[in-house]
Amino acid sequence: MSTASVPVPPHRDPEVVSAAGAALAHLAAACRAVRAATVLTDDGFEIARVPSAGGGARLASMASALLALADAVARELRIGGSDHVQLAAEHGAVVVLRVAARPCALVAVLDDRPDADDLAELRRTTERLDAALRD
Amino acid sequence: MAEYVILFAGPMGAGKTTAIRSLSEIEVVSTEAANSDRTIVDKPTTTVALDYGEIDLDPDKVRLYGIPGQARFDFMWEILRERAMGLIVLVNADAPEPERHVYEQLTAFAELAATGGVVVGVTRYDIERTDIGDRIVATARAVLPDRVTPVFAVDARDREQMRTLLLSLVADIETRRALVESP
Repeated sequence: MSTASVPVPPHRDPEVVSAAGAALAHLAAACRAVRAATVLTDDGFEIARVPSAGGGARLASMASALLALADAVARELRIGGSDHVQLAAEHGAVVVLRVAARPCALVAVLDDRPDADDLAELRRTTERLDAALRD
Repeated sequence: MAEYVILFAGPMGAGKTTAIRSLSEIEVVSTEAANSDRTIVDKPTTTVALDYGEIDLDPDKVRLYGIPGQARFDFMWEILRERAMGLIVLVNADAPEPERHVYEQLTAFAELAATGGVVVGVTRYDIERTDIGDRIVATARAVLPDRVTPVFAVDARDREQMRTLLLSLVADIETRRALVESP
């Protein structure tokens, strides 16, 4: 198959990877409750993550599946589209948010259930990334 | 009335979602996302969690689960195979080395293959008339030497062909169950 006309996938596009990395670094500095975070494509490829060391590639594919399942539930119940998913566990929480209308998302693992400030910062991170990708 | 939980496994682009849509009598629950890397498989969307459908094989009910083809979603394989009683492996004949995908899927689901039913469906078989069928049969025999694994050429879009494949799987499950229960 010729790949000449196939666009570079976001997770291998240096500009997208750089913008995602910068947005995540800003998030890590601004929100101390965030233990780890990843920007991913809708189909579960990791674009960038903080902290950059260590494992965590499965977080991207799991977040992708979570978002898709949330969409399926919302469709089934005819309650409209979903733009984020929250999972509250005994020793932490996971929030997955869409990045505007782009085929990518942000997933954050937090030490505790997110408060309003945490959620606002996560939302600002997706907005920041959306703006950077538009430039 | 019996109830069967069946998994559809196979590489991306083999026709798993299409097969479940052909068979299901309810609106299929699907979790498709835009396929961001068209260099791997050139199709617009890909399943990232599961497909779910149902069909009544009077008097039995069959729950149909399609699992994502990419290994990065193998956590979904682990979740769904715990409940499964049978496995349909779909591979497309015009992909490079389809028998390698059969090997990988049957190996990944070896435990289910040992205790439940298994059939292999080869899609797009009419595109190339080669020895692919023989190679797939030989691969299935090598991975599962203690059992006969039926291999069918199928069109995932064709409800009757997929129904024949499914009925073969249900018969395989019933046969193996009868063998286990016989004194």
